[in-house]
Amino acid sequence: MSLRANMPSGDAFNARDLNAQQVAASFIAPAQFALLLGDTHCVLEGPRGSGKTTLLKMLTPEAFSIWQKSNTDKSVSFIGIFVPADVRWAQQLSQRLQVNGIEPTAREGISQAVFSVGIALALIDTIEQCSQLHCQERLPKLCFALSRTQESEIAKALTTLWRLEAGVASFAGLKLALRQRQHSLGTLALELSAGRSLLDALKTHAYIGSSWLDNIVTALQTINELLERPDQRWAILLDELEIIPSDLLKTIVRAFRSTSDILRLKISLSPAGTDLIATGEPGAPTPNNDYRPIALWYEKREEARKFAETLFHNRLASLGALKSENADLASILGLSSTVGDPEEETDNTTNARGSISSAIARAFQRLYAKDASFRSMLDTKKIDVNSLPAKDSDTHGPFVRKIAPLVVFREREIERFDLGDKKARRKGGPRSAQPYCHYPNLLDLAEGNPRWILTLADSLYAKTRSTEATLDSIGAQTYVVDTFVAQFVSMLRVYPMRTASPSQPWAPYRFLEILGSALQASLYDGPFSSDPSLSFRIDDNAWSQFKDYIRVCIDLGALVIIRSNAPAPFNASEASGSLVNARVRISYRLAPEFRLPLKHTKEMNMSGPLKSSELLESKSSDAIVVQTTASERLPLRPAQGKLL
Amino acid sequence: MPRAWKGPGADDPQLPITTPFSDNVKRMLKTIRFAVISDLHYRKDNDGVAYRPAAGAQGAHADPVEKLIAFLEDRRSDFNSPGGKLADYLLCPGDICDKADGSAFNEGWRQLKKLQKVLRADHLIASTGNHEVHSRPSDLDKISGYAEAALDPLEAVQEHGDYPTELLCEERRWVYWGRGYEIIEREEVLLLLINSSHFHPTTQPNEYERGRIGKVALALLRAELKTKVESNRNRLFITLLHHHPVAHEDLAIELGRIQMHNGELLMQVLAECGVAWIVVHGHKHFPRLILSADSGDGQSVVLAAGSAGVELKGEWATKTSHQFYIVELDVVSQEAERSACGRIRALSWQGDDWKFNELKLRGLPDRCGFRIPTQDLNTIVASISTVLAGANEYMTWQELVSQIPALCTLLPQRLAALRRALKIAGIQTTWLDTHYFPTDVSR
Repeated sequence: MSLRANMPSGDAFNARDLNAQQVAASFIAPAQFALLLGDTHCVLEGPRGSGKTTLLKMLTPEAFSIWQKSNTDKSVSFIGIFVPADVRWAQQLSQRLQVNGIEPTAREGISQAVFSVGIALALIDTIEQCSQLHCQERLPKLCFALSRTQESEIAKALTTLWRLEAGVASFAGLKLALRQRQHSLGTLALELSAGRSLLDALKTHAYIGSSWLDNIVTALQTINELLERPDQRWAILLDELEIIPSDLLKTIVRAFRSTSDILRLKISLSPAGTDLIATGEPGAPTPNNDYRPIALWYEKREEARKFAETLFHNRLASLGALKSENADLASILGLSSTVGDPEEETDNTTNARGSISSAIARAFQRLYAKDASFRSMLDTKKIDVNSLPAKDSDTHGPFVRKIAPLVVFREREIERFDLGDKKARRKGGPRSAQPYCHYPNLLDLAEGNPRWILTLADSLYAKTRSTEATLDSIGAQTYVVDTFVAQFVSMLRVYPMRTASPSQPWAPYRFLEILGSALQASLYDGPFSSDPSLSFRIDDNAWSQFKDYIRVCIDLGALVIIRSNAPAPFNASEASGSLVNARVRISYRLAPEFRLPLKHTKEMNMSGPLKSSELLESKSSDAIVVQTTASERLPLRPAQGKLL
Repeated sequence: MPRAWKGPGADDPQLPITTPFSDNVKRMLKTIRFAVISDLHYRKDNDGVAYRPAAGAQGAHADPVEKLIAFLEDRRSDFNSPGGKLADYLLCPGDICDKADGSAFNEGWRQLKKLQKVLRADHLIASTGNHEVHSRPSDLDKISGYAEAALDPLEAVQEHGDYPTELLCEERRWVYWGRGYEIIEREEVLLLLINSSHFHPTTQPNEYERGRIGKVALALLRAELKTKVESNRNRLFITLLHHHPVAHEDLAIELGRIQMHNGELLMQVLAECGVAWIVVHGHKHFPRLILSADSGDGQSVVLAAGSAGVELKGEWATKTSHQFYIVELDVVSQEAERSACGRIRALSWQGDDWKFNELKLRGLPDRCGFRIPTQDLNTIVASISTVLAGANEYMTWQELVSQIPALCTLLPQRLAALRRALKIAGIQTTWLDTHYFPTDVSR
């Protein structure tokens, strides 16, 4: 966990270490925030950098009260208890309890106790926060006055409830006792691992018989009584759940069906982590009935654009990079002349419905001259390349606009294609990042990922400042795109995998490179296709062989799930992950690396390119089994050695 | 200017105040505040453009002195200082610059004056550190007959007419440079300013590797102090110098054993005056506050100021931090016996800002102090019990401190004993092992 979590990607922004004021100060609310404020259990899914931690931290009383001052129409009906992903308890659980022979009930007792302590500490911090905000009038559900007597009464009551050693009856005393317990739980776990029986342990540590849910619910009921706020609602905010051992994770997910009316759960995890729990059994929580799934990534680029524009613009403004803060990004960054996807056009582009830019028209003409397959297609459809139809009312207008980006990229890539050729003759040499520059393309590369957007904005500002260029400078923007892509690629090239060839490691980049090459082949090697495959379906074969790579790529944002609005988390069974049959595309951040247009069309089976690259073999009797965790073993076949 | 002394809670006659002094010690009802900043080590930053403390080489955002100035301006009210005046004197025990870099010294000296202004301190007084002296000759300086070479070891500092302090007139300034010390007398303060780097211009390793006060100067000082101290014992007696006059070692870290030559004799000279001295030094970059008794009945307070700007490396980086202090001293009569009482506000550098220090691994604690004669812990514990008996719930440590001023005059080394004494007395605390003080206390 620690090695992976600390892998640099060149993106400097992480809310993990920011306090409430810092998070609130720069917060731009995406559309999903309103859903999160709702009075329901929520599952927040998103890859790294998508803002999960920021959104959860924004639900804490202090951060929300700061933000609400300038968003007075917003309110919240619960007090958010942010439970950080404290590596200590995850490690305690995973390392000290991985001993054969330990009683499952003992393991569960320790897990529950450690988790309980983490939540209890967060609860005390939150109550202190609420009592210090002094915003009762503005946010009555969030703030309350707390006398010294009430604090002592709560401390005494919780000390009894949680079976803690009595000390000073204050919140500080309570936290000290909880930390002492946290400390002693490590020792207890070792004792149980060494053979001490659960019954014996219960004599001195009776608290390990209580579940975390009972502990928190009874504590909240007690607090509500002492505060004389019987209807006060609370929400536990759990971050990065994928690092929690699966047994404990199951109990958390089951809590979605909790009958307590005063407690809500809002949890975040990687989209690749949603199938870590098998919830196919009867009684399992179901999306929209028991919880609201909230995705923090964007399948289509125009969905992310509004948020990306606001965040990018605000960042440039805060850096002092804008001469006029009223200017829109299209004029600040310059307009791209190569936008052409009809489903995604807006009035801000040059290609308002009914026209195409001269740059695209020239690309049509050049490709027509050198690509016989393209020429044949236009001729068959009786499309005059020198007078392209573009209006909706024209017979082929929508079609021409649809294929425009494909034409632009194919024209850049191929030297010549004749009908007798099996493969197009490709241009050599490197390619400029120019087609990915200007508005909106530059923004689209960031996929609506806040961390990526901030990285792009800072990088553009730094480059234009050091070269005294303007923000719309193509030189500065190509440099920024190249760096942005290279940073991501560098991380993907060295990112450690749990499963790898015993002799040589295989980084995620190699896996993505196979997929990217397949898309390139589909676009550029054969005859022109107006509907090439630009996404993948994760078929059983690909999943069974490469699920760890698929998960990591999704978690890092290198692969983007296309769910088409179908909620997916927690619908997996033991036999197959929720990602099987899911559709994914390669992140737009990698589009310049693999020379792909910023669009996705129909899918191909993922195992196809993997097979053709000899990465996947149908059957191998001498598969090497690499142990990953106690609960998961992946077969790794010798054929994977060919990757290296 | 000194102000009327008014301890916390003094307005409320119901509060069981434990005064810092016994009845036979006449309290002068005055306090004087000394701000202490040491070992700044100004040099060119990483960009090679600006001069900053070595610890702030990354730029303005990491510059501890610039941040300190901003912090004090913003948090003035936290110091409970009448009229917003944070200190009467600003003391700097040396090493303002690194390796006798004149330009760096100029910037460091300029920033100290800026700090003096923010503190609203009347005077700035520095002692000369080893880094202020160009004590390592270059190869060119060693070429016989090379008339172009010119080594002026003190040029960087002597060209400043207000260094080491504007309190010394031009004539007395050269007395300081000539004999290696000078005495500054004010109404409530006698300040002995020692140049422990006096012999560094010899450029000999046995000199520049440690500080020294010469035998002749020591004899002269002994005679002079006898007269001056005797003339008025009802004031504060401060010694400011760069090197440590007493052994400065610690079980937790290897600090080296090269001590100031004649340091112990200096302490004896101070002790035989029959008053309590507050000795402030720098150089070690490892803060410490102790009572030192080098001559039988003598007792002085020795404050080894932590650095505010050096680049802390290795063990230093993990076992201490940069610090800045404001020491509030009661002006007391010492006609009958040695007396001293001081309370310290200690700030520690967090890498990007300053914070009142609570942690053991970050230097001296905020709100520690000292008292001569030493207080009896049982009396303090009894005071705490009495105060707690009147409270319905727990009390925070700060609430206790506001009612029992003696709690602010405890040496850091006595806090472990206090913790034990509280436990024995059945008083509950939330006292973390990493912290100097508890947060909450109850019966």
